[in-house]
Amino acid sequence: MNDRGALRRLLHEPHALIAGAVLTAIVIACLLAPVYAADVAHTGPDATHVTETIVVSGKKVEVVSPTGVPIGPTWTGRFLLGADENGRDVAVRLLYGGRNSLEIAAVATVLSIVLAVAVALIAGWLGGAVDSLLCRLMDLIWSYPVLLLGVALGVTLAVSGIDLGFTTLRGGSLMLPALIIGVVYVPYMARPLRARTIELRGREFVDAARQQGLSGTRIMLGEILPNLSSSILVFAPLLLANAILMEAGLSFLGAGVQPPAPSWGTMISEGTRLMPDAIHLVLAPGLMLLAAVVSANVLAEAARDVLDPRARLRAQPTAGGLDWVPTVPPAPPAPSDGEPA
Amino acid sequence: MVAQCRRGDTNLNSRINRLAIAALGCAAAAGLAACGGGGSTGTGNASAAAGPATVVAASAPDSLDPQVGATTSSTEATWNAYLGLYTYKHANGSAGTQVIPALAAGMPSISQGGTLYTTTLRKGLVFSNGAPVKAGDFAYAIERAIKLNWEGKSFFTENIAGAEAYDQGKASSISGIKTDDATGQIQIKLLAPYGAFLNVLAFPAAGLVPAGTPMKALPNDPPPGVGPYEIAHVKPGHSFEEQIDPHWAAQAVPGIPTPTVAIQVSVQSNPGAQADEVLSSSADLFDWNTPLPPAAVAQAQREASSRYSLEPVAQVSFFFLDTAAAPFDNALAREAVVTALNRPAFQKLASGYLQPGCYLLPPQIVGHPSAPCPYGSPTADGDVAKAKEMVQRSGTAGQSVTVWGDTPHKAFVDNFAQTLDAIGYKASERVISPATYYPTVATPKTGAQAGFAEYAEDFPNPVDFYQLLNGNTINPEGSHDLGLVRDSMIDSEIETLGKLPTSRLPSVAGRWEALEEHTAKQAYMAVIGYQEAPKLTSARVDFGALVFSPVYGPDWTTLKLK
Amino acid sequence: MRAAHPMLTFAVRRLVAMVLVLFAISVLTFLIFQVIPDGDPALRLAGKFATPQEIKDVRIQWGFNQPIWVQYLRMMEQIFTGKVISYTQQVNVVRQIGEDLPATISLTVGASVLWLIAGVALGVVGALLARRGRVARAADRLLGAVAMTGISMPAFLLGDLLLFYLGFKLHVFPLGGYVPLTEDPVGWLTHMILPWISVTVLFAGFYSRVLRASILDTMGESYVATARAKGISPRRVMVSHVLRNSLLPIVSLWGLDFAAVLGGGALLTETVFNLKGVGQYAAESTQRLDIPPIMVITMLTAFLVVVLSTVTDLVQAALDPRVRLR
Repeated sequence: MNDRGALRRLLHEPHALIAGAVLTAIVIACLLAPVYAADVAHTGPDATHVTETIVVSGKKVEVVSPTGVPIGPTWTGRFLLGADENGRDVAVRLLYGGRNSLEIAAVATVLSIVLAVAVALIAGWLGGAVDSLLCRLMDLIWSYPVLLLGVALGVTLAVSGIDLGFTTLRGGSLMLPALIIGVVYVPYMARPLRARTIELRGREFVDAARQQGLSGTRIMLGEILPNLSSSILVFAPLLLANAILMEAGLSFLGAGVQPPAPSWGTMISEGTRLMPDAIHLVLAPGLMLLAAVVSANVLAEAARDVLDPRARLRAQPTAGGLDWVPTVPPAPPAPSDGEPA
Repeated sequence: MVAQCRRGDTNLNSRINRLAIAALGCAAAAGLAACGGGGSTGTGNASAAAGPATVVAASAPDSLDPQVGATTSSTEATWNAYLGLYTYKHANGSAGTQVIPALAAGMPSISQGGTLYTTTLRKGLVFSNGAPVKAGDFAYAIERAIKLNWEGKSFFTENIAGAEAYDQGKASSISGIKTDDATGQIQIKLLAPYGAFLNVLAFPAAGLVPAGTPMKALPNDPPPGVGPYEIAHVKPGHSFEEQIDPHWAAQAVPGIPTPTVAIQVSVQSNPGAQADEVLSSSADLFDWNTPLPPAAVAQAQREASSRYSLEPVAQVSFFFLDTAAAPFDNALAREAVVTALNRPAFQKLASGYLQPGCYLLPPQIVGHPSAPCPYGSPTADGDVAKAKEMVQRSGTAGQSVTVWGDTPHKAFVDNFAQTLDAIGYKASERVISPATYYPTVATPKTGAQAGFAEYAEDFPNPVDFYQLLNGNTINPEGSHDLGLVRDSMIDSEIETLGKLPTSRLPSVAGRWEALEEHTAKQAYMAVIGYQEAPKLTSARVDFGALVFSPVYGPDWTTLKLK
Repeated sequence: MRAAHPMLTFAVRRLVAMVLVLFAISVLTFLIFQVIPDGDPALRLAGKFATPQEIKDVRIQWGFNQPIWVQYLRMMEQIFTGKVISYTQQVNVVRQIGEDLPATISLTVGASVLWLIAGVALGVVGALLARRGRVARAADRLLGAVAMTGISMPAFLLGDLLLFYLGFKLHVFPLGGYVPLTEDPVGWLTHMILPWISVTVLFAGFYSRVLRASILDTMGESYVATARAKGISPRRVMVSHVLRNSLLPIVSLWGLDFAAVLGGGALLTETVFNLKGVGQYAAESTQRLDIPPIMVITMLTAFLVVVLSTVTDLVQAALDPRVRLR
């Protein structure tokens, strides 16, 4: 498989290009959050302005009304997208929140990939009891209502944090939701990669490497892993999309990013409380979230069409921010998935 | 000492409830007369006037078993279905804080230095199932509340002789309660004089149930009781009914109204939808435990001003400050925080349902001072510049402070943490589930330096609020004294004033006020203010006649349909 | 030696697997809440401001002072005898779930039918268009974009927006809540429509993409070409060869998703629309760290998933002889 050619073809897909551009623009905008906060909005993401007034088109307006309704979009530098109940600038929080949401999603994605590849290689290469054990473990994670697991972990860990041995995550750390999401999505990717590893194990070039006396580890890392790379590339944007959605779901239920740090999910959750008086609190983060997830999913689809034209992996996004992560379509009933007897 | 009647059901009404959206319109009150008869503007409802009135509540009662329920969502339902020996007058405002005899024939005679209460049961009382009421049923109810671990059971175990032994299984009954079924006489022996004991007897948890009622929680099939209403058709978490007790009219206890209409309570978690229903008169009464959403306030003021009002409730909101550890063991640091506190902002965060104030005792409680607040007017924005300077002077600038809060008050915590940042601290936040919040911050081990708290009275008596500052209750497993305040003046005044019977409170009002001013001066807690509750009814309810009890909220027995 | 009947082996294997999965899930859930510090249920049970004595009492009364495996066995015994009581509200969990089930069943049955129909229709149309001319391909792309938006939509955002525009603004639908079918069929319908739409949008896009890909795959298979060469009409080839085989993955997906939503999986949707179903109960219980309901609901979901996946495997085997029952 020629990956460089694939990348070139990917760049020729117009919708992939657009999706990539949108995602890049969102990332850049979020990275520039401090600049926007300092030079355009003149306020930080957590600064409250509840009892202040501002001048909008010549009129003095309270940032938050006496009954607690925040001002809507002003379409000017200050409170471009309106304020929230604490009189904080929604546009500023949107960008800072994006940083948190995307950071968590990116870390979770990398974590999922690393773990999934490790599981797939070990299970696929060693086979036998280790394979069975790992497969059952994956089944277990996957048959657990994932969002419930995530929320449960999020709520309990938010207070106490967790000691991982090599490092301790304090309650409220962004890495907590990243860790939860990362682990939860391992089976999603590990299972197809394992099937692929088993398939590759029977190939001639692996036999050849074995005959040359290469060690198992060398063959796994040197021969099989490179052949998994296109599969990994197909899954990466899918995982990213799923992770963004999952983060939003956890935060919406109060088990994700901890206050006062914003994230798109927490912002929507706070905004829901003020419906119908301040719909901008739901719309601004909601549309941003949707744009990011759609872009990632489109990118994933394009990558799959190009890198995996025979749809071996059946890589599909999981439906919506749907609560229980639905199943990946079952592997094709071809005999080649060769489960060891 | 334990007190656990919370308003607003903060423990149970998780954030999720608040964001969720509830049913609207006729269908929500499914199967009700209000529905069947074209519930738009009350047309054709004349005939339905006898049908149930509908109450839309934001959260389900924690339990409808009187000896278990502790939230206001529970007590507003049980106080009219499970009368005890005493209850509160069915009246608005401070008159409604007065204790009156219910099933007791009169006020008790108190002897032996305030430790022996003697009273007699009214004659001819029957339970809602028709069984006659016996004096022994009173003792049984208290035992049942203890056995079922009612959250306020320590009011019984710490005051009534022998109750502790009963609780620990060392006795088969409470030795301090003597009853005579033949004469109806009831004697209660206390361990020490306790001024608020009549308030304790007025708890719905002391409401009589027939002796022999199972010693297990019966939230879904509440036991028989004596009262204007009986609870029926409980669908846990969804709805329940209060039907007029058929035996009530014949018993006629003075001061307790005879209801004219049955009540159907349906639980929906969206205040906006609830408000819509009541504004459009398809439901009759808005639950007082939740504020009206802003849009509904505007609509109520505009279209329904004759059937909407704000009622004060005896609940104080504050941030506790850990006075035993840095930086708030420093008095100047605490004063700085109170100086900087932006109370009008909190008022807005509470959608206007908060009356700013600086004293621990709400205005309707005896002992609330008239003196101005020591660190700036509560209705003005905080003085951040001055506070910053005070923090500098205290030498605590730059220290880290973790502010705690429960999820429903996330916005309050955000605001307070910002204020701390602004005056020179490094604030971080811990916002956790309401279910675990209070046990967590009450444990000194947690080391919470500051945190949000709201406290609703168990009963209208200043001593109840001063549990929040009672240094003698501090222990490793947690106490009311969240800020670990140990102040000898407060502790000794609680000791002295707490012994006085509730009826003699006015005579010591001055001493309570002095204590209040001392507390505020020391800035032991950053008081934000006192909550208010909405009273909103449908057009077919007689708004003026509906009593709003300062203790239990809208009094369903006085709800009349036009 | 003659092997046992494959069907029997299959059934036994699945049964064993189910028991193991349920066991593992129950242990995992129990550990998450019991081992993690601050999960001490006695503190929650004892109330807002409990004295040490009260906490001790609760600990003894509920058996929290026992070794953890004893507590686990006790909990499992209570679950299987239907006597399990929740920690925060102290109601019978099984009974509470019974109260909540009608709403969840209404959501699941209605939505699953809708999303299946919509998903299949969109998928078939997309696949047919994909093979036609320029305009048709553009239409296919448009459908793809719609499906992609549905797939990418966070459940709570869609719910919020539906409620805001169709509920608060236009007053077409009620603002959430559940009305029992038996009490008021019309009210039931009006309350269920928005949740159904919401779940359908989320799933239908996903199903349509899976089906479209599957149809296009199958059309490339040799037996389809053979059938065409034999002179069978394109319509018959499409229906009896292509569609029949392409629907296989959909059937198994549908079974699992149906099980997941029925088991309270639609946490967010139920919460947003305040359906007071099993999912919302699960969400509220996790927030309260109330172990018994979480245990029961996760086990219920896992049980339904295993059962439904067994059923769909059987259906698949019946539809497609190539599928081996494993």
